[in-house]
Amino acid sequence: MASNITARGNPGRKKIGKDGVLLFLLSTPFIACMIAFNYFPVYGWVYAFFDYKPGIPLAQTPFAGFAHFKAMFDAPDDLINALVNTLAMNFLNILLSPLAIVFAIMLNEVRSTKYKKFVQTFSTLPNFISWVLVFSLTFAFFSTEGLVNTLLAKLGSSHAVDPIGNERITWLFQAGITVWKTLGWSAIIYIAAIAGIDGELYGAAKVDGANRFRAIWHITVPGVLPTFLVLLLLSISNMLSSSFDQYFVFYNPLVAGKIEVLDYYVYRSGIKVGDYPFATAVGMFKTLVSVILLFSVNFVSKKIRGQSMI
Amino acid sequence: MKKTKASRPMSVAAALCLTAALTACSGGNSNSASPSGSAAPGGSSSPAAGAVKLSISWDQQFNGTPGVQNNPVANEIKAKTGVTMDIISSDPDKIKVMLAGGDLPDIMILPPDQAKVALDGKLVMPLDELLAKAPNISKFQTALDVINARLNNTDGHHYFLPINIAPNAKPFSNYAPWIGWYTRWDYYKEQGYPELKSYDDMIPMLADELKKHPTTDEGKKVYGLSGWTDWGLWSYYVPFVYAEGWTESTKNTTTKPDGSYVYRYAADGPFWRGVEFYNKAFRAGILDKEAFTQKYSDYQGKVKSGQLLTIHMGWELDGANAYFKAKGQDDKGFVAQVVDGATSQAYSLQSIVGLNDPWIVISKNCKDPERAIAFLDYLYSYEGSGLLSNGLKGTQWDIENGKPEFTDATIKARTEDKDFGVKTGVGLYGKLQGLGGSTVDPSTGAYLDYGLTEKYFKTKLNPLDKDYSEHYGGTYPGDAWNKLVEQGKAKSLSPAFIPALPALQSQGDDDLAKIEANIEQILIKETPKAVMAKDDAAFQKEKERILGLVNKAGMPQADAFWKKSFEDGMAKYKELVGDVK
Repeated sequence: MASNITARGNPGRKKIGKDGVLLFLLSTPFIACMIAFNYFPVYGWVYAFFDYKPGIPLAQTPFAGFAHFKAMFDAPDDLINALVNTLAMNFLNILLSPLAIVFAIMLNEVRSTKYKKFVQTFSTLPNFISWVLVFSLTFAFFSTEGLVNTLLAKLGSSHAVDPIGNERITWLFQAGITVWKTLGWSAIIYIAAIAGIDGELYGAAKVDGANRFRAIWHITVPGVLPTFLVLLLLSISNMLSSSFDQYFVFYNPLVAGKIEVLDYYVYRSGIKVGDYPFATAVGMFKTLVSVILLFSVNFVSKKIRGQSMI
Repeated sequence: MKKTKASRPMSVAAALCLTAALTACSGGNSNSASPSGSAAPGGSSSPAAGAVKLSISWDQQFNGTPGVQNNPVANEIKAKTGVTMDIISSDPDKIKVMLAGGDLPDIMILPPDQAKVALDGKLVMPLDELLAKAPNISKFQTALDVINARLNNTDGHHYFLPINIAPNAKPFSNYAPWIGWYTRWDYYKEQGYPELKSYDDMIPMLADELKKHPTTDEGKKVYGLSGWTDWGLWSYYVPFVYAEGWTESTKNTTTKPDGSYVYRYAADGPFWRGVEFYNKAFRAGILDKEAFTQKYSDYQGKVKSGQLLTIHMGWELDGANAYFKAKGQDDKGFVAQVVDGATSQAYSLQSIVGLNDPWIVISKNCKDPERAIAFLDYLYSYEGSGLLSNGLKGTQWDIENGKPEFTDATIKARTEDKDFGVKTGVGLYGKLQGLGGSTVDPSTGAYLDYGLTEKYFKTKLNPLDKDYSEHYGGTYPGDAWNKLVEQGKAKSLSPAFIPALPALQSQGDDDLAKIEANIEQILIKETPKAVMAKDDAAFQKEKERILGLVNKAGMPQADAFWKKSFEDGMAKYKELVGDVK
């Protein structure tokens, strides 16, 4: 591909070529969208510094300074609980993320193309089901009269399971549901990465006497590892903003202490309690933690891989 | 509608006196009218030039199909006013977001707890100039003044319209009690009509029933008591408020059965009364644990499939009993549980101030305020309110023996067809109905709601209700409760319930509202732990822990505010009406 930026004339000064201008123009709508939907809303942070009430123009709203931030840290129990829940559930998701690689490798080893495609399609479908439907399905399976408890009762068990209302297993249960919903979809990128591995490597390994497992371990796994690391780093930096829908639909008083994540806490403070400035302040705090995580991960990535993400 | 307010007949006089006094105090209201109501019969509206579509947001989930309304009642309204209703189903969160974002429909049904936000943010339209063109609404200036007083609004404008105003308020008898505890009559009878000294005695009774009938005929599991999560804390305490004689003049002011003030969430308030009851039910093994995880729709599913031994609301009776009726078991089903000294809600009272909750507003974004007020004014006429309540003459009702009555087919359909309201529009738009059902229409001399007639009660009476009523010496369930009151076995609603009291009380500011919203959120989250305490000591420990949390969140501050507000309101009330019990 021709270079988009070509150096002409004065050494050290770069001039943008025609291709560069074209590409820039092509990207303009997306940049505009990003500014409109990602940067412009940041203006809303200003509400954290005012005693905002709906309908009253900001110019007529009393300035509150850092009062709402102070309130956040004066009674930090809920905030800390939400932060712990967010981090715990997302770390569990990250811990379980290699399952997608295992699934992709297993799928890659299947000889029957028809069966492989069927499994791939079937496992990808849950990704497109809304969280509301996932909750309904889960309720149909795990409620007192759900499939699981009915089966248990028919098998003579007097013990009923209630993962939807059991606080002790909330984190694990939510991680399990996330895996069920996203496994097939996450595996797609790894299947693509495996497809990109030079086939001659497998041939050479076979000549060297490697069995199937050895070939996977020494060729496939190293082949998909860079992809895994990039996705891992991205998911860590984005972990505080993930899956509000999931935790919202599964929220109930029995598991509230373990499922209330930062986004839910923002929703509760803003919409339920009506304290919009406080909710905005919590949202800003969340962004700060996300940025710290991003730079930390970037630092680690730089140290380990010698490459910076940003 | 979740709640309604009622009082014993003796408060009628007090309310009317207060009304007169308030009217006198309101000053500067040129359109004031006599509360006894000289509203002209019939609506004055006629289709204005051209049709217009007005968007109207509900305060809760709309019972019909949201969007442009197309049913006989909606079409008649369109013919009379030229307005096509475009209903937006809603919930408290959605309303808050609409107000915060300024994305407002033409007309809104607002709960009072959002009224201050709407008012302070100037999100609603002052109605004074428009009211000059609304003769029917203008007759109820007093009711508008009461809302202003309740909101401490002194800017001289009126913004909020109350609904279900009864200009010539007089008590009426419901077919059956409205909110409380309803149990299976066939099982109660099977147990030999055990005498219950208090509602707590229901628990061993329900446990026995559950032991004998653990599953439905279809093999589904049966529960003694259940609940739901999406109405906040409602199911914990509201049935007790109505059944045990507590009162709740507004969301914030509750009184004990003896009439003394108590904060709703205080240790000795109605909320903890309910939590204690739920804990006892849990310990007796009759509580459905999904009460803490299921939504109202899931709960409704259990109600309609015969899986519960207790329900909380009178308006669910037809739906719950339809399960038995469909199987030809007309003598089985739910009735209001009679307990020694329980509070009867057979008598109800609507007042000149209308319902406390919700109110109607025209939003600042309304595209055609004049058409909006003309539309609303029609619904505040006898004709308009009657149309919403009863449907069309010759179709849903007709004149029989000189009196308006629902036809037999309508009564049958109302009782048996759960989609009757959606199909016909009858009763579907109650939150736009200006006049209450107990208003006497001067043109007919009958209650505006034809569901309050003797014919309606007699035709509606099924073998189940007949057996129940006759057991207590009445002709229909509401009448049976009246008889129990006459015999001293049940009480009328507490005299501490004063419909107009909210108007005399000072109201909290936004900070207090935030504190109270936070308290509610804490209680929603923590209460199940107390309900599931294994013994008295564990329950007490949990109760104290939760009270510690809400105290830390500012409950003493809220309690102190409302106590003073209640005392000041009562002092003003005494000044206005004299002797108060």
